[in-house]
Amino acid sequence: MGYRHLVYKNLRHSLKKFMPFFLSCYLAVVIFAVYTTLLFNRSIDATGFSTVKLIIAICNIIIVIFSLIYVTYALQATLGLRKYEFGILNLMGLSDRKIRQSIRYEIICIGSIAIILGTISGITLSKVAFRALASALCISGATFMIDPKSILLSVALFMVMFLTIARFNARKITKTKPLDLINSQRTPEKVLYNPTLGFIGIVAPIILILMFLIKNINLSVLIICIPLVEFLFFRYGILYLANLISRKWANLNYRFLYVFSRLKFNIATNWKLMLISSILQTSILVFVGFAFSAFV
Amino acid sequence: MIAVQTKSLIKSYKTSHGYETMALNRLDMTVESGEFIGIMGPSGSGKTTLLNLIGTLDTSTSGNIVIDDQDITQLSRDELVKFRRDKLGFIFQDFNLLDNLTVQENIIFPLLISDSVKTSTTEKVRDIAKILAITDILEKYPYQVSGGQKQRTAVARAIVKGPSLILADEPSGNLDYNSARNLVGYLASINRIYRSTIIMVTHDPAMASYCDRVLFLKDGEIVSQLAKDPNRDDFYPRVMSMIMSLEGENSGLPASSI
Repeated sequence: MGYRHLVYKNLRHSLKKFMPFFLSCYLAVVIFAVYTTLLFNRSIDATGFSTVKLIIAICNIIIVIFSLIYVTYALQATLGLRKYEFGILNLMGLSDRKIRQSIRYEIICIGSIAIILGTISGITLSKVAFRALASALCISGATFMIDPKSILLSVALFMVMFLTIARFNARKITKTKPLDLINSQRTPEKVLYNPTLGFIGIVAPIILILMFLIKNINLSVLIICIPLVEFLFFRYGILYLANLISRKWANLNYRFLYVFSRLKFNIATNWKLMLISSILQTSILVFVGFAFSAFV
Repeated sequence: MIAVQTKSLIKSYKTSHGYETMALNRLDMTVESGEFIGIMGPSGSGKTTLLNLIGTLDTSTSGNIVIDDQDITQLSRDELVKFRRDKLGFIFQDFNLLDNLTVQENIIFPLLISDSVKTSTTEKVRDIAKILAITDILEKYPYQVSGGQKQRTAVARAIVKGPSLILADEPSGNLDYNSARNLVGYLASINRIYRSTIIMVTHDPAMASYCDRVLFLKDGEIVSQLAKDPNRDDFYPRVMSMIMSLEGENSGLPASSI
């Protein structure tokens, strides 16, 4: 029995905790591989549909940004579940360097599996995507093909991404005091509640929608307003709404009480992800809308 | 020989409203090598904060902590990890065992980290397990054993490296009456057999009556201390009355003697 054997055993038993991270990595690689395979399909160039490729390239950039945020968040959530364990190891005298090594090793192992499986699935799915694209845009003469460069790009990009995320997060863990790591499970997220901003967060999106419907708003005003309104809504608005409803209903039924208390906790924990996702979603929708109108 | 010495130790926290709370206020204390020290006091008096600072788990606002002639407030993070590995053993209220490892693996893990595993290691683990009466559960996982057995595993893990200082934070907090009585008996035996210095934070006067000396903390300062009586039955009432005088009649402390 050696140190490595015990670390490996501990990791094997913690695999369940890595599931959200693995699935996030896998999904990100699949989506990217689908788009990249289409992007590197040279036969589309010959058909005169090069604008399609431009749209795919821009979509790919958005996917990379989204994946980076999504995978980082999933990893932080996974490492959050293991902070206690790292705290105990540090307490027993395992050096920061060895903890960082162990985190990097785990992430690279899981990331590599996700890259291999994701690339295979992505290429398989890209064939379906190619057929759908060819059929929707009536592209004739193009054939499905897999360029090795697309595989190389997917593997290299995500390997670099996982290594960077692993390095950053491992450093963050080893900068935390061992006591805070051990107590992390018992320390709930701080819920910041501000009724005034909460009220504004609920009213602002309604006003924005009404203004948009009644009056044709300038695009630059819209670009500034949307993230601001989304920030207010996700940071303060939902919590205000949840508090409003729970005050009236939660005490009537234990299910309401439980659901709303969980909801409040989850909002406090995940508001950043919700905000980022919503901004990205809005950007993608706006971009697709413009691309579609330009194309048609 | 002095094992632990704190000099003008201050630990303050800033609350979310911007107020400063003094957890430890210019605390001076000295612990002799091989002593079994109990720390008592009302909730919020700074007992656990003091233990965390001595255990290098937290950093002080100012002041010095000297353990084995080494000022730990001057050590870097890497040096602190090495210091913890070589000199300290921890016992917590919540056991803090690794759930994925068996009892034996949990005990042996600190030795593996410090690369001090020898052929005699298994024998050493078995000897300690025998003293702590956990030989039968060595192959079991923490979730398969009782709270008392978990705590004895934590004790075994703390002493396996032969640390010069063992820190116990409310070790009987999650245990029933009998397990608590056994545990403190084991700690006293370890102190006697291995001559380990033990600092134990406790709320229980009965647990404290096993110690060589009991320090009483209030508002981050040592307000009083009691030295051991040759007869433990006489020592317990003295500890109890000191607690009563510090907190009043309604201290909420268990009145039962172990």
